[in-house]
Amino acid sequence: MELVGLNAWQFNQYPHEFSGGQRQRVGIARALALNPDLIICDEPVSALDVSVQAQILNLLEDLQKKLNLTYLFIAHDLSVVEHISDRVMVMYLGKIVEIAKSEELYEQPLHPYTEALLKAIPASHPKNTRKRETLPGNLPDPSNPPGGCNFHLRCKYSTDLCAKEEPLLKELNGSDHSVACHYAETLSLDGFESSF
Amino acid sequence: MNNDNILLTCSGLRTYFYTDDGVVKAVDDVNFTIERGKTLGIVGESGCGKSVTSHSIMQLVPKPHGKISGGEIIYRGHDGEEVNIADLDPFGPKMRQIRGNEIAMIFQEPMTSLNPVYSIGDQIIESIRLHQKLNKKDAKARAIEMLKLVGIPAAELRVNEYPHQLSGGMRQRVMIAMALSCNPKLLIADEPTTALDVTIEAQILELMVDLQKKLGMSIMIITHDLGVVGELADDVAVMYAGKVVENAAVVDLFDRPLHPYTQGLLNSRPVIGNKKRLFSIPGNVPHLAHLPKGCPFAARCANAKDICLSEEPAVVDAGQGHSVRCWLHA
Repeated sequence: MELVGLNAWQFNQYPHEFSGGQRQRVGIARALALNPDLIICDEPVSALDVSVQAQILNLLEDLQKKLNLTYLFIAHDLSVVEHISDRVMVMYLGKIVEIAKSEELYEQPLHPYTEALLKAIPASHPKNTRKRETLPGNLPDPSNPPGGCNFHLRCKYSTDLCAKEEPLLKELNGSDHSVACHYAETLSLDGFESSF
Repeated sequence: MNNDNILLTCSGLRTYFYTDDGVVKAVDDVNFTIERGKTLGIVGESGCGKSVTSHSIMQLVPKPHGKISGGEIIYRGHDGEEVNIADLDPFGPKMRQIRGNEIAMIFQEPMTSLNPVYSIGDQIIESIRLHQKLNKKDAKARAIEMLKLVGIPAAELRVNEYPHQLSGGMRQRVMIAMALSCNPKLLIADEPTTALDVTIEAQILELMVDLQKKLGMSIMIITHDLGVVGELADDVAVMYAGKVVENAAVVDLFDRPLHPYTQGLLNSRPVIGNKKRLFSIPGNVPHLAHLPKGCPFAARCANAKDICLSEEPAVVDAGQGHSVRCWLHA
């Protein structure tokens, strides 16, 4: 308990006696109790306030260094993902569409869905006039996926080929960067433009 | 500022809860104004009084423990008539006419705010029929139209579905459809996008901005996400422990945050391209029934002086409509 920043005297307390951030610390303590090598964090900070989120992210990073842990970190907040991850995997409708080193993915996305995700990040300053582009439509029904590429109905680059044939996940020019798009090598997509 | 442009003024609002632990001052001397067609963002951590402020405006403070103990909430309706919501009977006809019709609200948890045993269509139709005097058929058509407006596919079929058949994001869209179905003058959105994915969040925020332009409604958005505030709000009120600690136009707040708490919030956000350790405000929000003497933020503040621990700071005007409640600027 002390490892995650709680006090030993809180041992006999019940969950309702803790704040949201403290409960997440309890969750982390429980996950650590048996000395695992891998911890799967499923949206560990999405329910927390920014200041508490920062505390928990720092704690996770400290523990990783101290205990040599591996994290599989699931989140939808892209700035949190970028902050904590070494490698990032983007999923769409049950399939991996892109996987790459974190910096590379944010600077040079190769899948149109990744590009759209990066464009949807809110600007970090209201004066920043970067146009936030929104992706039209919704996630298709997974029980009735569209033919071809799952993303083709919402993709502004899609062609007839995308509607017919499903692209496979393949590694590009010997790098550690894999993508599932027919046009990964020909499209020139925008990365995330830093606001400052 | 022209008085006609102001839709709602909150002055000296105090909402207290009388509990066995003592008086919880959930909202303590809160002041702000909302202009017509503009957006006010309210930012702060859980338990700082954001939601209780919005519940006070809706007269939804739980009885008998909770009570608006002081202050005024002046609402100026379409005909220019002024109503002090704080004085209204929560169950009286006037409040029922305002609530849901002129001031509508999107709640924080779409999972628990929808009734699981009624179809979503029935839940939207209920408020349309109550306020708009439409017959059942027209109300249903309006409900379907609203569902389409918020981007629910196959709205004609979905209207008959129950909340458990929808995803979390879809449920939040239903909540928004329900809130907007009576063309409210003020939409209170309590953490409307916290549960949504980033692409859906962008869609919902864009939808809210579009509808605001179209309908000219004001929005009060309650959130802890400063990115959302930067995107949507014209003015921002930062709350801490039941008080507004800083109030400013949105650009001014990001450029010139004056309160150490606001500075802490802005610095604790992860910024893409910067992997440095995050700044985090030490400690936790104090318990509202046992507030420390002096400034409630003093114990967590790096710049606290002696006076911060003994006396409560007053509101200081920092120019350009920017005000802050802090001894460092007094």
